[in-house]
Amino acid sequence: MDLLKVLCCLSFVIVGVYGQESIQCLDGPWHKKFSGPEGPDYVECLSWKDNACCLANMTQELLTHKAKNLYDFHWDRCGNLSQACETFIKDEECFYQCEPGLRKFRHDGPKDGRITKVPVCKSYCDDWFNACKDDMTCVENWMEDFDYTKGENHCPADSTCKTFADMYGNAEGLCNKMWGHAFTYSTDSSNCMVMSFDPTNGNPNAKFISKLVANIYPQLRFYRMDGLNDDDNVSKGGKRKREDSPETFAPRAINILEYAEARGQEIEAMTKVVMDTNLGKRRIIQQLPRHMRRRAMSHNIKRIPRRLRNIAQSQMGPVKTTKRPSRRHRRRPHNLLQEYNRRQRSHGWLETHIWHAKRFHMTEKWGYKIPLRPTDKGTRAAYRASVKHAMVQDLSYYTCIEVKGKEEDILAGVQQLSSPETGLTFAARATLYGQRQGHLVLYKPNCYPYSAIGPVTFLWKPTCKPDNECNGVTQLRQLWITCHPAMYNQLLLELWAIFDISADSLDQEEGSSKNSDVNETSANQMVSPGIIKVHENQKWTNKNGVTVTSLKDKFTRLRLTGFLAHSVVKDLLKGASLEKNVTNKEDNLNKPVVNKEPVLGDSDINMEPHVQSEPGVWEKCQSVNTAGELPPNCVLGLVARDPRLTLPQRRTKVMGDAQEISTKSYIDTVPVECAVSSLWDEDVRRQVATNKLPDSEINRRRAEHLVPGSELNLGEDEPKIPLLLVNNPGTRATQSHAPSSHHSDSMQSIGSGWDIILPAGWAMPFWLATVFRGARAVGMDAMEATSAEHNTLHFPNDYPDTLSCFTMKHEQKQLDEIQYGRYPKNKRPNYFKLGVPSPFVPPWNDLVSGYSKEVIDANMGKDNENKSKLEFSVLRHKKQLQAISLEVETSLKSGKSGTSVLDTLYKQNSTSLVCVNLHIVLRGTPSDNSAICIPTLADLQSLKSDSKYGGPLETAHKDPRDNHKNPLESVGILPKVENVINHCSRKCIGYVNKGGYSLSNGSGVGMGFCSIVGLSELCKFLQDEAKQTKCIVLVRSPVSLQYRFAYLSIRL
Amino acid sequence: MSSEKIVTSPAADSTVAPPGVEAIGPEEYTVRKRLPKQMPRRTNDIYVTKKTNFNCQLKRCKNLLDTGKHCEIYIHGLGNAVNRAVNLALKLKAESAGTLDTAVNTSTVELIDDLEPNTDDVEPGTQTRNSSAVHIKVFSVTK
Repeated sequence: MDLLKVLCCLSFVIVGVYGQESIQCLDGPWHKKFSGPEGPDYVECLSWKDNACCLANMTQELLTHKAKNLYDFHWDRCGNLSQACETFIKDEECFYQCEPGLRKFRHDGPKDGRITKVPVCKSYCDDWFNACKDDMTCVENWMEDFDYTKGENHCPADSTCKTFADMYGNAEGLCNKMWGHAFTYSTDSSNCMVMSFDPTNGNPNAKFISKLVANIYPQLRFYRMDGLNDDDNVSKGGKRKREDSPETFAPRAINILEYAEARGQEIEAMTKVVMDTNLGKRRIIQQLPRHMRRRAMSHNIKRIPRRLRNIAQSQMGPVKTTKRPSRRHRRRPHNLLQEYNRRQRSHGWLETHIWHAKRFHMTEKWGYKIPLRPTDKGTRAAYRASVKHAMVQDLSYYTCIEVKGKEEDILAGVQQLSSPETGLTFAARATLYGQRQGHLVLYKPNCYPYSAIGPVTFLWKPTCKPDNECNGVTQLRQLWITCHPAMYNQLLLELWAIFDISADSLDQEEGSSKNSDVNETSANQMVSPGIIKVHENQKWTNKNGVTVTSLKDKFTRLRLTGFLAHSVVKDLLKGASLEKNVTNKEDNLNKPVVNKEPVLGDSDINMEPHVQSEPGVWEKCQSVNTAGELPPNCVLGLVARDPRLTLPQRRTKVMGDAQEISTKSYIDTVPVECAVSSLWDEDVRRQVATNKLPDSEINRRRAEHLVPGSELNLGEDEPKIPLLLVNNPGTRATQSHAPSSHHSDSMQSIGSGWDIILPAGWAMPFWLATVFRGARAVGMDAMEATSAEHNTLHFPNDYPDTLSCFTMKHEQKQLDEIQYGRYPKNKRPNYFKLGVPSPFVPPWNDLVSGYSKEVIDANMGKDNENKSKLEFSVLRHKKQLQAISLEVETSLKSGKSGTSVLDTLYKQNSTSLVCVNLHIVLRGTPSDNSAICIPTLADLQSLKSDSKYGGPLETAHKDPRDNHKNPLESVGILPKVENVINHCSRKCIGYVNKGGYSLSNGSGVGMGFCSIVGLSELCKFLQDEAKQTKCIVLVRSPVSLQYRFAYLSIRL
Repeated sequence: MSSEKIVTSPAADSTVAPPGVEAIGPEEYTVRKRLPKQMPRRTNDIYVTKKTNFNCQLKRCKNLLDTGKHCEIYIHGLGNAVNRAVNLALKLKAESAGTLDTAVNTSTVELIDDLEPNTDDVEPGTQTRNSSAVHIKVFSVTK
């Protein structure tokens, strides 16, 4: 089919060449664009009437005024021309104006219609010369020699009129010279043109032109014949023919099939472009001509012409509405809930999230959105609150893991995670019966002292002591281990491992729990709209019957800290009682009458009369003013009223009883019975969550109240919320062997307060209740800052031997390095010159390995294998720490030297780090990652002699980049140091982990870790050489050359 | 406390461990002091500590008396701080050119130490000890 089409097309083109095909004309003022036949008003140049390039009005002008009006040109400047000659000149004008083939001889220069070197037949030239040889002319070249200064052509002043014969000599001269280079006298009779002919026989010039074009452009000959785009046709320099004659590469013949096929493809592509509206990405509006296009056409279909709208519609696809829905729509409960759920897909929200998000900078960490710091005030406000009043934090992101089973089974497992050397363990009698909360640092099983997991708090479900009346019944015990979310996964894995929970049981249990948990999730959603808790109640049981349950997001934990925290809690829990049973229903649940085995009820029955006989501990607590007066870490189980009912009308500040002197005696211990709470029961927790009346319901009832502002009485509907109060003792002074010389312990019980553990869903009412009583809400930043003030360790930052800390610090280091790289070179510290190899994170490994190597060298490879371990540990062995502390503080004072405890210790384990506290002696503040160094004798003498001596200076190191021979070799931004210990002029023994200005001390303080070997060297030096009575070290910030003096003490 | 002599505090720094602790021994227990019971916290109650700078405390007392809000202040000192409380009151009196006088009360405050076990198999306990306290009323004679 295509071939047929192509052949038709081809023949059409060929016919076009030899017939009266329209051809592009010259660019002259009287030329048409394309040649074509003329009508009846075509009166002159009749030879070209069938296919002319000239306009009809031109012929009329030519007939009436000759060339006078055409070009302001007069032919008869030397008198009238003879009739014959004028005819020839008129024919020449006609030829120029009307001949379609002349474009091939277009002049190369400006496009004003000039032609060049048109071959004129010898015979025609001869006739022309004969006709004009007696006529007169004053110039040889009619194109250029006339004087055009007056507009028309005039004979130049110095010219004389001559006959044509005199002027040109012969016909050749006439043709070659009269019109400049326009014509040439051609002797080749077959390749020349004539200026007049008989139209009935067709145009004889056309043959010549077609032949000419075919020869010059053998490949394109047919396309070129239409005259389109043939600018290259005329060779440069006005030459008509090319240097290499067209005949040299003209083909003898063409393969018609090949030719037609090639053309066919082109035609097909062209047709496709024209016909196919869906080609590529071109839309219909892109195919519209420019004058039909309109602004915003692609957005508004109504701007497209109606006939194209259907096509355009199909091309636009579904219309995307980008307009944001109205606030009213967005705030509809259903839509709001949907939006909230979407936003907590990656990072879960605390129940108080929305309250916090309006007031706090939030951060995404450990799978939660955690409040970082309030937008209104800084850490100083938080500090004041923690010292003078109360600050409150939502710590619901702390995760609880429940272990349930027989006591000996549980203990056999969890005891592997801890070491009795670090202090009390899970089995301690102090905590085992549930009257106190315990604190512990966990390790991977059998890895102590290496591979710490992190600190946890734990709580046993209260039970009666075996020496009371338990009748030897083996009870199922419950243990709650509360940990930071950063270590949750690690801890859970370890628990699975130690309780031998296999992978298949994991899957099974998970699957079953998922099904059972659907109800609970929906219940939670009901309770606190917008806060979804997607975590299933994951439960895993091993073959001994020990169950490990993840209670992630099952509790709310509010931490109140500060001097008046107790007053706030007292006021908050006004109506709270120590009653055991939430409702009668639970009562029955917990007290199966038949077998007396179950856990909670049994102990309850025994204890209840005991509690009621004397005033309850909580009533006793009313007379106490601060939490620090209560037994440390004690646990109180309470049943609270709905705090929304007792919420103050406006924000108040609970100030405690300033006047009253309580004469009541101390509460020296809290009995176990007081710690009993139905919060331990999963069913109760679930029921309490669903029992909660929504805020709207409370408000409705309040509105219906007869006396506005009076307390609402919900009667039977009032929920009773079981909660646990856990005491935080804060800092406590030890009555130790020697009181610390440089920082007194008068700041006692700073950071004391309560943790309120609530069932999930009740965070907001209690949170608002604390805030409305003047507790200052703080975020994670303040928690870290106040922990430094209170001299407590903050996880994960202060536990460098844990994976969580390593991960966190490593991420922070990368961010810091990027930030450092962004500063220009002269605006950032040069760590090469400062001699600080690791300014962003303390190089614990380098420090420890450096000192281990020293020990190995000293021992001359006695036990190389043991010491080659690069891992480091933090010394948490209580007795060893006490011994070191004793040595550092007292034996320095006494000045006696001898066998050092440190010496023997580090020989056991040289990879230990010891946690130390630093207090600046005179000036300066230790910053994070500062180096702790041993001073020289000269330094100590200067300090002694000059009471204002600031400290020695480190000499600036050389920067290898300053005269680097090979600039291509990258040195990096940090110096690579083989030995971090002796890199600087003072020997480095450790690094500050957390440092800054302490508001409670009024000076710079820091908490750091020292290598135990380094510490021993320090002590030896101070004792034997310096004869110092106090343990003084030097501290140098990573961005300064200045060392500062600081007192060092061991953190127990 | 009628004597005009300023009492110095010889060896007031050393903490005397209660006899009970010695008997128990440091291996079993760590003794930690609990906060003493809170006393009234009116604006004119001043609790003297050993840690705070003496001159600051003096200044604070003078300010309270000079502003005219209070014509009497109460200076409390407990244990080691008794000496300092007395010093403070006497210094105030000496510098007042006879316009201030003092009235002294003494009392005994019951203190509690927590005995924190060092090993798993020991029960925690508490011990009670008594400490002396002094409550000095410094009042203006002229008003």
